[in-house]
Amino acid sequence: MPELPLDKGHPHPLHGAVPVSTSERHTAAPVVELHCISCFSFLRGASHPDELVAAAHRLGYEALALTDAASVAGVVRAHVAAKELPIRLVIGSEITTEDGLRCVLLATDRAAYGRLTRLLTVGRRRAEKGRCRLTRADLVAHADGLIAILVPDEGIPDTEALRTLEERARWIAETYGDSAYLGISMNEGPNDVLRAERLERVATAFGMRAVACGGIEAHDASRRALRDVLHAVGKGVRVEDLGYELPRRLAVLRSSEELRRVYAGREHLLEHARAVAERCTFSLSELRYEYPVEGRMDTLRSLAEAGARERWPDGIPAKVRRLLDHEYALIDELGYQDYFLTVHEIVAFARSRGILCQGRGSAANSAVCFCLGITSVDPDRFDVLFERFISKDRHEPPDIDVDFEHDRREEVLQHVYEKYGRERAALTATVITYRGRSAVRDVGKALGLPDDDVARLAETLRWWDPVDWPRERLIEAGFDPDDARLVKVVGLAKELHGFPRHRSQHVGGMIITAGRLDELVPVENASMDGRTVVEWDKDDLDALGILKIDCLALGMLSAIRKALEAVSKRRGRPMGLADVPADDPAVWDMACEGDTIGVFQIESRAQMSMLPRLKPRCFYDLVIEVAIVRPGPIQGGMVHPYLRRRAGEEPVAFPSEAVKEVLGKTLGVPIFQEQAMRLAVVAAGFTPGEADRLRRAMGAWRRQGLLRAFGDKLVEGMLARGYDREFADALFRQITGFGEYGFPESHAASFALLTWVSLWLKRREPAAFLVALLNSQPMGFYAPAQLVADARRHGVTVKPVDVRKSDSESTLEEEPIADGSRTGRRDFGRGGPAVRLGLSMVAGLPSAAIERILAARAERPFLGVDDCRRRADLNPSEAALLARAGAFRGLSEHRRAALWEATTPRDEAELWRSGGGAGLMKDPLPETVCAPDRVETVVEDHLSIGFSLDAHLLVFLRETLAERGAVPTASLSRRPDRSHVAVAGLVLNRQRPATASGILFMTLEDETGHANIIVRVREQERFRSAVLGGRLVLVQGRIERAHGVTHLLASCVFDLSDLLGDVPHASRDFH
Amino acid sequence: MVAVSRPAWIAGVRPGAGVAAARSVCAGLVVSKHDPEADARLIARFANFCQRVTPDVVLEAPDVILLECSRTAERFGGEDALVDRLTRGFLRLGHRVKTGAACHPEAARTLARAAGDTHLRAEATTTIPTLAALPLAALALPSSMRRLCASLGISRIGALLDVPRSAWTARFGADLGRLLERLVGDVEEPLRRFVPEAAFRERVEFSSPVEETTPLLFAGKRLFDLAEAELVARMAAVESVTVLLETASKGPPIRLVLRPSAPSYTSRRFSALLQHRLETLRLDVPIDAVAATFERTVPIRMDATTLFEDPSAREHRDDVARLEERLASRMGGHSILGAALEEDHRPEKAFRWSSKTQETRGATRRLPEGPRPLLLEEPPVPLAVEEDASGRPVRVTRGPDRGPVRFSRGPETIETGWWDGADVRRRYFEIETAAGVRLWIYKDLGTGHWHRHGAFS
Repeated sequence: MPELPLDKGHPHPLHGAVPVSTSERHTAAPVVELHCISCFSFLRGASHPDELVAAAHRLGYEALALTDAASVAGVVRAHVAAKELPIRLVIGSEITTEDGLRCVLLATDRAAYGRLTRLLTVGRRRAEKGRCRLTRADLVAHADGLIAILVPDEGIPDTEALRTLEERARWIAETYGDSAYLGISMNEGPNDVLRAERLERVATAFGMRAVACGGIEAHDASRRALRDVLHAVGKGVRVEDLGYELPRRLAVLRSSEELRRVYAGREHLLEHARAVAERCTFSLSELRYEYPVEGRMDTLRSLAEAGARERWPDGIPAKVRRLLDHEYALIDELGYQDYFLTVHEIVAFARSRGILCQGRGSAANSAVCFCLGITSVDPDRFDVLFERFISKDRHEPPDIDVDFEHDRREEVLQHVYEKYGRERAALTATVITYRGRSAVRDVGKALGLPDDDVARLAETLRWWDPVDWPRERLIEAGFDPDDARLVKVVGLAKELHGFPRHRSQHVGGMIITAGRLDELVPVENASMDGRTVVEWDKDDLDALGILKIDCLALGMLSAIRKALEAVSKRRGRPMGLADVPADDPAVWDMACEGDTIGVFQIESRAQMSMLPRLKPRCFYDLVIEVAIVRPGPIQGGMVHPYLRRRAGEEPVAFPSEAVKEVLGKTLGVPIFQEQAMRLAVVAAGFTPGEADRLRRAMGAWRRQGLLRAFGDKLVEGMLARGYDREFADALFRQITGFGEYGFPESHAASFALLTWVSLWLKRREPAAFLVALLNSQPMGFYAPAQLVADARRHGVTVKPVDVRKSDSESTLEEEPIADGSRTGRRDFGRGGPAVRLGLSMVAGLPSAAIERILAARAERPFLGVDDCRRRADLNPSEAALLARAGAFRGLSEHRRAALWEATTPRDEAELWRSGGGAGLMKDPLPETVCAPDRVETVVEDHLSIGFSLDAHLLVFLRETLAERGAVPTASLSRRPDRSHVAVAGLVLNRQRPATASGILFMTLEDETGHANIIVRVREQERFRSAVLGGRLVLVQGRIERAHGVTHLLASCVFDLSDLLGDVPHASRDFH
Repeated sequence: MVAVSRPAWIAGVRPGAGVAAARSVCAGLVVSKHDPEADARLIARFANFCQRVTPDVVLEAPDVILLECSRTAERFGGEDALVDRLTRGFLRLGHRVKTGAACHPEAARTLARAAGDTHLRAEATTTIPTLAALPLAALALPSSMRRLCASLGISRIGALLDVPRSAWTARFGADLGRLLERLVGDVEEPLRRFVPEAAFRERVEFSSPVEETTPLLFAGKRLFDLAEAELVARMAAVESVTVLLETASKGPPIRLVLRPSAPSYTSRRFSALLQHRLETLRLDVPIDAVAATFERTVPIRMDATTLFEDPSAREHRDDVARLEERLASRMGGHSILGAALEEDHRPEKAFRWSSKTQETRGATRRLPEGPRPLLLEEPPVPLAVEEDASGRPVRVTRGPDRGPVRFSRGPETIETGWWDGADVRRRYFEIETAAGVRLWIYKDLGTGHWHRHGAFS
């Protein structure tokens, strides 16, 4: 389903650094800071690394050391920010040993940096997730090349504290020799001078130099409040309860003049600090090329050639030959062959285990990847742009994402760990940041807002909202917008948004190195056993040019494999992805009708409305279909022009040949992300590098300023080349609409392949397809109930759960039930195999019980409920679950009789225990227990498996609903446009896309079909509880029909959920 | 959500819903925390109330009260009249009740649960048929059994009873069997009578109305002695005593509330408090009885020694507390204040005054880092100061401290306190004026103005 990038609050500087003004630079003698933490010291630092760098530069610093607590998680962001500026970044970390010794370690060179990361790895691997435990012995073992600055405790040392300090000073001096220093911080405290005196005496006594050290926690004093809130959150108390744990004055970066004033009489401390900084020459840029680059090109070439011969047994096309040679040259030059071979090995492993996989994203632009079997987009049939994948001027490593079957991806990850070992492989990190609601909750609690108010304030933020509270919204929620404390809570929550909270592992990103991973970046324990994760996230790795592979999980791949297996079994010969026919008119017919429930990428409401308008009839149409129903093209206004031109309602014209080359296949409308980039190059004269920066600017969609700058250049460039202003403006609008939502063509093509396969399976093998989807849940847009209903509408026979016949999962059975009804055009499932629902569909039934049932049945069939219970060793509650689901049909008179038998206690011992009296082995069915009627059966079905094969729930409520004016949903398509009507149904899903200006889409289901409901903002507010929480609703509204698609525009929404009673029903809600 | 008001129900809020979900459907929802203890106290009060109609009341929390009224019903004009009286009484208390009556407790409970607005009763001879017609929901069944019965299509008690009891006990255990036995009256049920919690009252009547304080003090002492014995036996102390002087003229009694500075149980203490109060009281009317109600008892630990201690020794202990009490009773409780340290960098907030002097005594807090003057001026007094290039004060240009100053210590910069509207950004210096006075002054970093905050002397 379309993913909306959430408002990130503070994006990675890679996507647009904080603008720096050079006008405020101070010109006094330069200074440095050696002890500074960022927000990556979770819940301590109150500024982002790039903010610290920018502020240091503004204040005239020569160098800044970023020394987060037991971590280097923030250094890459600082590095990216510092690259553009004349300020040097020193890498280090603040370490606290188990016995309380605190020091700052700084890396002087690459080797020293490697030791630092190994030290941190040791400390983190030995502790539980998120913590670090280091002993002095660890420091000694990793001391070489590192500079250590002892950080004394706060306050003037009394006798006791002095002894501790001296002991620590001695130890530091011994361990680090002439790289040992003592840090003195002065922040206009009452006892600063006295303290400095004492500390200097200690330093001299042990032959160490004293240096000025700020212990900086934020870039400037505007973060005072946030810093205090962070500490309160970290301790779980209110700010006002922190007492003297709050600082008297926040330690922030100060100007050179101010530092000289504060350290007056002790300027040598500042000078010594500068000297220390000068010794640290290590820069993160030295981390780039760490991969062996000799000899492996031949291996790559031969593998690729072999693959090419397989793909094109009749000879490699000329176009492909050219592409391959071009790619080989580039790969060799840039030294990426090892990377390709690594990915190839992983994919080959997966294939050897029969795990379906497919590369996605920009990698699909590579002919080499296609020949290696990593991707499936045929470079002969498509226009691939290798430079989109790897480019010389981009200085960026390639990024290969591979989708694997979701329930087998673990095997792949395990293989990577086994092959490369923990020393060379780990997962990439993801930084979990404060979002709207979590920020509000933590800030509210820290400021002592009552629990209720906090909950209420958090509730006012919907998941689609940016973090903001207009006055009206606050008043409406019952708050006084001028209340001082509330104003603070709101302001601080906004500031906190985007701040890191903790680190987590990325779902599938892996980094594999040739050398030791822990000399590159610290590695820590992930929450999952046996998994390790590095401290940097994807953007960090990208910025440093470190290669990574994304092993993603795709439910549809599992489903496709299962379906193909089932089909293979039926046909008696193997069928793989490659055997699926490339064309089939009946399949296109089905797609054009929007009959696509269960089909990959085109089953959503929006897609089903688009299909009858776009009417795909060839593969490329499908590629466009996949790419066009996304926020990017919709927002950019591409959809309507494309459809009009396709329908012939509008002429297709191009202002120039160059534009025609880029936009020809999409009828003159840019739909794919790289079309926008290509146009910038050919029409506006951008260099490929600038075009790429434009693509990034589109990605940082909040950076309006950046985009504007590019926009002007774009329009001017086009005007200069003779295009008219109208065209230029329209193009720019379309490009801004993309944001980062536009699909690259290759990615859309990769997905379209899977879409085509699932379409074909649905049309030609609907029973196998249903079985596969049911056995791969959870996935997709629809719940099993709708998938089953849809299959049955197409004539597939679905048989209920039955202990005599069901497997654990759903399976195919060869005898469909002939019911003599007419075969319609849409009944393509009729006459084919039937689907038998699996025992695992019974909610709450343990898989161990299922195993026992299958094992017992394999010996001989069951004779009765009791027989089944005994032989499968089912306890009363397990048997009751089966009885309620009707799984004992055929073994007893009716469901209730089965339930009665199921709950009979099993043996003497049990009878005695429950005190029921001796001798009762079989209790007869009471007369009062008789067969359930239809309603009761359907309700029980819903409670057991979530839907009923017997009848739709609403069949029984039809009379009541009709009394309230509701008509069946199936009748909507026959009613005239703009007429008023009411329908009622179960709410299947709710969607509120960010591009739709607050409109909410709902899908309702009754016993005749589905209805698409549009609810505008006003109606959402008026009928809030029904719209947001109703399980069964009645909607009155007006029919809106366009291009053959019918919607109901709601004017009133009523909650009828009480009619459902206890029957559970949950909807799937999306952004 | 534990309970929901009617308007909230209409808006779509249901018991069992989460708070956030409830708020999302009902925007103006007011949510307060459920207080189960308050509920328990309330229902105890109800049980108390019920004792007006019969002494045999059984309280079954959280929502059932059993009354054995066969003996007392006649006094109220029959069972119906009694029920009517109770129902209306409860309505006046603000609560609705469902009532049921039968010959044995379980049946009565069941009938009450099934009852709506009308009272349900079962005659002795037709108890079982009456029960049989009731829905299953009226029985306190385990939810697993409820679920099973629903799946089996059993919805009335009668259908339940038709099934052999052994079938139920086999499935759900002996407890259920006992429930059914109780339901049909096959077995007796022991019940525990409700006993209200003792918040005791003692009262002493005079043979003839008195107008002087001495007899009142005697009466008071008698009451307090009784109370002390009781409290000691209970190992409890009281936080307050209400003494009522009932007037002979039947006007409203004079009410005196005695509050010792700490929970107490000694007769001596209360007598002393009473004496102080009476000293300032003018008696216009004759008093014919003195009553004392002891409320809010708290458990206390008593060392064994105190029980046998010499009363005079006890007296001399904690003289300060007694002095406090005397002063308080003369000058009013809130004129006695204690000082305590607070942990706050802002000098004017680094301590507080409190009338709860118990708290301030012995409360440990850390001291601020820097030196503080004994005398703090609140609010700080503006001062005209001239500073040098590095920001240090060099002279006071106006006012009584006018003249060059000698710098002693500083700066101490305090920037904190943003969270309660009293944000402080000050740079403090300790200076010695031309006249030799040591002052504590600061520059407000926001306004740039100097102030005098205190003096070291």
